[in-house]
Amino acid sequence: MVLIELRDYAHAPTGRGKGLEKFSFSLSPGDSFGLHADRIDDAHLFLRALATLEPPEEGSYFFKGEALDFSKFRKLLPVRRRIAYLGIDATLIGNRTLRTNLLLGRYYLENKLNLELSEEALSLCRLFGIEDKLDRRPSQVAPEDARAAVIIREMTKGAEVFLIEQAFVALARPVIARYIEMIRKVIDSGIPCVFYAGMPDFDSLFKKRDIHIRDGVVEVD
Amino acid sequence: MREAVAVRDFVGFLGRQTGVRLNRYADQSAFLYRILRQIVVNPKAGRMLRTRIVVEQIYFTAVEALWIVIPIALLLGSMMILQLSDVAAQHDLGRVTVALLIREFGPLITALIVVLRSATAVTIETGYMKVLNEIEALELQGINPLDILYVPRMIGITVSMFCLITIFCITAVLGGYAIAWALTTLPLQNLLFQIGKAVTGLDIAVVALKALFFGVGITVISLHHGLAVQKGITEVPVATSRGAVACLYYCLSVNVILFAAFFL
Repeated sequence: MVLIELRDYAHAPTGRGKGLEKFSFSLSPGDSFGLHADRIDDAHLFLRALATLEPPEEGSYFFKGEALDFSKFRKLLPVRRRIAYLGIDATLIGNRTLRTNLLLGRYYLENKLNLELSEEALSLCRLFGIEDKLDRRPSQVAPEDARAAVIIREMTKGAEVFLIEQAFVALARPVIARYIEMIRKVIDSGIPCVFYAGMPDFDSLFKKRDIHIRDGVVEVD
Repeated sequence: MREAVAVRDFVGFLGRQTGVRLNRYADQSAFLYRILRQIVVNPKAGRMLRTRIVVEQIYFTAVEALWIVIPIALLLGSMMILQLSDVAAQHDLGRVTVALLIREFGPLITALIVVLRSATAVTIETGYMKVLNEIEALELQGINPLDILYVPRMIGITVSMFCLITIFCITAVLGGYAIAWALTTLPLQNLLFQIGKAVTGLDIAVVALKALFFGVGITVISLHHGLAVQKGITEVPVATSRGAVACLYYCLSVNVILFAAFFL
C-alpha cells in the first residue's frame, strides 16, 4: 500500500532554492530514499512537502490513498502525527521542560496530566545522555541535548514515516553511532524513510533508492 | 498637473491603508470566530492540558499583576477622592466617584496594565513560537494550537480582566477612602454610603461588558500580531509595539462605544 503520494506536486522556491517543478512521488512501506539536491533549500522544501508542512501550489497530496485538503487544517493534524519529521527546523517548545516536551503529545491525546515517560523514551534518553536533564528547559541544555530530545520525541510517537534531514547536525559525536544504529533499525523494520544527510558517506549507509533534485526538477531512480 | 498627481497618490495611499486595515480586521474576526468555536466545541482531546494552561495564564495575568494593580488603585482612588471632594458638593461625590472611578478609569487603567504586562508577553511569545517553528512542532504531534495556545490565552486573560477590574475598583474606593480619611480632615463620613447608593445594576453590567470586550479583544489582537510575524526574530519587537498600540486604541474605542450605547 502506498503511504504517501504526491501527484503533480509543484511548489515555488523558498530561500535560495529553485523550488520544486511539477513531479509525482510515492512512498510505501519498506522504501528508503537518499535525497540529493544541488541546493539545500530544495531538499528541505521536499522534506517539508512530504511532512505536509508546505501546501502544494499545484497538485495533490495523498496519505494512505486519501487526498488531503490543506484548507482543512484540523484534518491534517492526525496525518502530521503519523510522520516523524526530523528536519533541521524541527524544534522543542521553549517554555516547557524536555520531559513535558516528550509527553506533550500524550498529555493532549490521552487527556491526562499524570503520565510518565514510557520505557522506550526513557531508554532513549539514557542512550542520548539526557536522562538527568529532563527537568530543564531547552534553553538550559546544550543544543545537542535539545536535538536529542527532538529525535526521541519523533522516535516515540509511533510514526509510520521518517523524514530525516542532516541527521547528524547538532548531535554530540559519541551519540552519532547510536543514532545511525537507530535509523538502521527503523529502516530494517520496514518503516519508510527519506533522508537528506548532505554527506555521501552517510547516504550509502541506509539508502536503497535515490531522489535527485537538480534546478528544481525531481527525479527518482 | 502636479497637484492632480499628488491628490491621486494621496487617495491611492488612503485606499491602500483602508484595504490593509479592513483585511486585518477581517482576519482578526475570523481568528476570533475560530477561537470561540473551539471554546464552544471544547474537544475532549487536551481538555486537562487546556485547563492547566488556563490556570497558568490566570496566574501570570491576574495574580502576578496584583502588586501593580493594588498600589495604582490606591494612589488613583485616594487622589480622585481628594480632588473630587474639593470640586463636587458632598452629595454628588458618590455619583461622581462611581462614574469616573468604577465605570471609566477602573476598567481602562486595568486594561492598560494588562496590555503592558500580558498582551506584550503574548505577542512576543507567539511571535517567537512562530519564527522558531514551535507551532509546527505542536502540529507535528497532532496538537491543535487553538486548543493549547489560543483558547487558554483568551479564557485566562478574560477571566483575569474580570478579577483585576473588580479588585481595582474595590481597592480604589475602599483604599482610597481609607487613605483620604487617614491623611486629611475632609468631611468624607458619608462617602461610602453615597457610593453604595450610586452604584446601579447598569454600572455593574457595563463594567462586566468592558471586562469581556477588553479581555477578548486584547487576546485576539496580541495573538494576531504575534502570528503575523513571518520572517525573523527582528519582526517580533515591531509586532509587539504595534500590537500594544492596537490594543490601546481598541480599549479606548470600546470604552467610548459602551458609554455611548448605555449612558448617552
